[in-house]
Amino acid sequence: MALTFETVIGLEVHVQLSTNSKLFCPCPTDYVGQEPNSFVCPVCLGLPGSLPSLNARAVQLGVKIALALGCSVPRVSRFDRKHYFYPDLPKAFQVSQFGLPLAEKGAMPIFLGGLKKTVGVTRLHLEEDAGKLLHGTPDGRLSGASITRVDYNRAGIPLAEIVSEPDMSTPMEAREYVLSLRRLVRYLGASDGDMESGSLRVDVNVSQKCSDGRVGGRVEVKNVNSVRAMERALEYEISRQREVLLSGGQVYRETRHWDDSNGSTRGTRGKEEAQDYRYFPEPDLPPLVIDDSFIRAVEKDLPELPWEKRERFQVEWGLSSEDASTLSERLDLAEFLEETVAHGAGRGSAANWVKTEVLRILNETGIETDALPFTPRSLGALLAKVDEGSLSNTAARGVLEVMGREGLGLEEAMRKAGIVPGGVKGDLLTEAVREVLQGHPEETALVLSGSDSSGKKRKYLQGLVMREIKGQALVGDVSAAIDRELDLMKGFRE
Amino acid sequence: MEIDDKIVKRAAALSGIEIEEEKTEAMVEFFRELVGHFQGLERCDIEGMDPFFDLDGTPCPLREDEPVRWENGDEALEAGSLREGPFFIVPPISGAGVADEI
Amino acid sequence: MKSEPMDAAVIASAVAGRKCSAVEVVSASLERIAAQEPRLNALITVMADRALERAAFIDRQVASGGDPGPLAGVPVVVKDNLCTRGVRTTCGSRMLGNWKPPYDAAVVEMLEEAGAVIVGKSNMDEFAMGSTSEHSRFGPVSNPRDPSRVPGGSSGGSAASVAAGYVPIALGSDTGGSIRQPAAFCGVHGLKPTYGAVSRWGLVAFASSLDQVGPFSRSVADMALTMDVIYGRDPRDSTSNERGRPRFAEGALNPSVRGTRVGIVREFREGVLEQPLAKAIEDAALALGESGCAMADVSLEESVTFGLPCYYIISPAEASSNLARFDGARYGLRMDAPDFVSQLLLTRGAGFGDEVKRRILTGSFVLSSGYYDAFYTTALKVRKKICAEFDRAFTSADVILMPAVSSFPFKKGNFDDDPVGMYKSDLFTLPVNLAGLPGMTVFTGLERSGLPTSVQLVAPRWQDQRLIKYAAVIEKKFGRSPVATGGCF
Repeated sequence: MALTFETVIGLEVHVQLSTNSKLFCPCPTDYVGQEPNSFVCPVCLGLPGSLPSLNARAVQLGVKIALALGCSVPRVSRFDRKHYFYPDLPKAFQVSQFGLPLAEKGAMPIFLGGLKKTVGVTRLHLEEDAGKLLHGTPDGRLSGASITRVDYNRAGIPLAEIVSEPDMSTPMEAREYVLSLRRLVRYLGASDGDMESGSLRVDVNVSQKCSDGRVGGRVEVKNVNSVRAMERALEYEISRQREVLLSGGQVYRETRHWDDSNGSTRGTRGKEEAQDYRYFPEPDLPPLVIDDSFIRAVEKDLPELPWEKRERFQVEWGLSSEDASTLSERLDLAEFLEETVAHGAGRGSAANWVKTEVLRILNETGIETDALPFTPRSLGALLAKVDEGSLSNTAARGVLEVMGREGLGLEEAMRKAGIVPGGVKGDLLTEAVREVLQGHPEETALVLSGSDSSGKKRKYLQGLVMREIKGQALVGDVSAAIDRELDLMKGFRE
Repeated sequence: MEIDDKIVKRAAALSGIEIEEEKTEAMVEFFRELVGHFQGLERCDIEGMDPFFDLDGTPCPLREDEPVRWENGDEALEAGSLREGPFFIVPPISGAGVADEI
Repeated sequence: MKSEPMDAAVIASAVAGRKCSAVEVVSASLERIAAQEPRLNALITVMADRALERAAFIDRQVASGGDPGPLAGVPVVVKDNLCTRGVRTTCGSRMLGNWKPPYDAAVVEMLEEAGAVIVGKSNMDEFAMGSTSEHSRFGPVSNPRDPSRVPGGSSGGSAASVAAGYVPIALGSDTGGSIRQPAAFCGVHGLKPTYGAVSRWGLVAFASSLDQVGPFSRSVADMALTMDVIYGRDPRDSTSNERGRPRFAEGALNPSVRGTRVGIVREFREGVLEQPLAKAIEDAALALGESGCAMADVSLEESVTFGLPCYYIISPAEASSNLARFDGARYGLRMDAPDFVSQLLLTRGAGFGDEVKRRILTGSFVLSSGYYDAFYTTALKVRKKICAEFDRAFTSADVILMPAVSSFPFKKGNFDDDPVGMYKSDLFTLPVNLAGLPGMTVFTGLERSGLPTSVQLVAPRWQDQRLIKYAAVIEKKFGRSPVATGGCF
């Protein structure tokens, strides 16, 4: 019988927390694009004699993510030192939480093709980021040899490390997990979650269970710098491990490095013995105590979570799984939608409009919803008119366009578009007439040729126009508009 | 507990310190004597104790998240013996005993 | 002005009252230093120019009617493991080279704020590891009471500076006795505050959970004056704290101890001490008895039995971590090498002395997998027991009276081939660090040989002011520490 395999995937995700100052010192965190080594101080440079002081906001954000993931937050946690020599680590130890992490035992739902799956979260802890190394050749005095430049601006940026249970079995699930986690930290305002700039980083753990009972060693893959890279690295690593096992070999527990350019992983340390990090409690920081009032204050600040919103859109609003997913992806978009509904729009039409018209503008311009040229209040009022049948979709789109282009409120935009309370007139009416006439050339030709003696065809066309403008015009206006158009057409013929 | 040069060399490697061959034996002797004293702790009754040590139960103070830019960065940079512009410089990273990045 | 060194309190009021200038005081201090340094080697760096500038600034401040602070014009020495901005800070090691810190230690800021003038950085055992002040890249310090002997360590340079009359006040650091033991050896007072009572910001760490900064002085009044300046919470040191706002100077002036209980440690009664030191304990007990104290019998059996191995596991463990940062990349010594790891190994091999290497290796060993639980975890538990033992002792005593040292100062070179023998001399001081307690060596007199005797007072946490009170009572009886007459032995 052919051997079958089961893949086991666990992820360690580091997110940079959106604080104003570093984890253990008051240095500012907006270091991107700044002069190297300009956002540093004795603490984050690890100068002799310097001591850490813990940033309250980093703790709050860590607890916020933890609570959103349903983790338990013990009253006492602690920081430990993790030792290794590397030039980006100025103290030769990283202050992290090892023995008593900030939070433990949570879970996050992910959705695959509308199906919900829950991925366990083992723990969440706080730690400091390292500096940045830039490898290269020097300009000048060390000619020939290559050198490494070190920039400590990033050193000490607060990170939350979120460790999942090995609950995933496909690259697709891993992808959904990372995307869901990113959505969550963005919802919470805890991190910008941007993988490309490194504010969200993923280490992948993957292993194989073979149907003959063999279990491959757990391989940790580093250097996956995008969601796509993670999927590719997983796909590569899964097939590599299966081939090894199929050929009777053994998969060793090791750390491998993803090379995005040639699409493969390579071992980084060979058969070296496991790292001995010599963790011990950071003596410069007393135990971190998170009491009930701290938890309550953070809880008060928790928004509705993305998966809760998604479920509500689907179950209460009756949206499709896909729409519910799209509309809950961004907190600002979801909130825009809900406010639109709060201002009078029906849920269905609001959802439709937000996922098409609004999202299109956001995607084209890259702005946030608060920079849109119209408010949920005016969109809500506009859609209310559509819902009650007093405005066609076409007309409403025209009005929205005017609102956007001219930055006008609903009433003014409608006036500008020729829609006034009590009737459609002017250009809008003409437009509707033209649309109908052009859409019904046979009937129009009959009327023009004068063979519509009973006037039946003309009445029929007039009815179509009235329907198009939702009966919002005076009959005389419509009739006159049709006459004008027909005259024009005659003029063209003659 | 057997103390030999392997133990001393492992401790040296973890310490990032190379012990000269001719000093290894003295270090082994030192370790033996010291570990002999350490083993005296076996006579202390610590059965069932939690190792969590906290001198006086004062929780870790929390600092408000207010950024302050440190002004003496140039002085700190000047202390590096190898520099290039705003960068500290180290020779290329290779060899055993060096761990991965975070 | 007088050529005899003055007390800090006297200097400060003279300078503030314009009876003498800070420049005169500091110049006199610098002259004594210049005269004696060739013999004592107590200082690594003499900050003559900066000190005179600073003194002139204080004089101008006084002239313009400003408040120059409680230590106005007082020359002080700080141990060379306290960061001084722009002035090299070496920790007695090759490793730091001529590193000029870009910032000041908290206690340096506080001293200067109070008007003190730092005249020098004192010599010390490398990275504060040692009990003799012989383990310094800058050579050994001599004991001003007998230059053939060591001043004790690791703050030997600070103790010697005060004993020799360079300055009335010096700061040291105490991890396992590094203030109290050299104070005893040099015949001055030395106080290690409650862990957390004085900011460690800018103190180059040896063992972070044990290190404290504290003062040396020749009078209890000066000790109190200094504690009033350096005591208190610093937000930059998360382990620093304060309980109330003790007024040390008042405690020194009105030392009422009547009706309190003095604990005499059962285990230190017989056989362990050189006779004059045992007698010092007895005499101090008598003096306190005369002042209305009752004597109580306390036991520190576990501290005596297990303190030493417990300390020599925890302190090297933390030291191996604190000293891991010296890799040559950002400051200090750097040896040229083709790759980072070679640079690391070469730099650390050349930069650290043998004693420091021994401790770092010991620390890496007790924290390494396979040995961690047997050593490090066990030591943490034993440390808790030692704390609990002191707590028990303080239920029957308000203060504990015990020796700081068991012998007179060692001859130089005594422990050259016996590092563990040197460790054992910390027996009476290190339990106090393990329990985070305040402890003070109080000078009790000079023997006919010229060598000093002393006792150690230990109080419950945050009762530092108690030490000052009892010390004041003892000082009244035995007299204050005289300036060493120098080199006639």
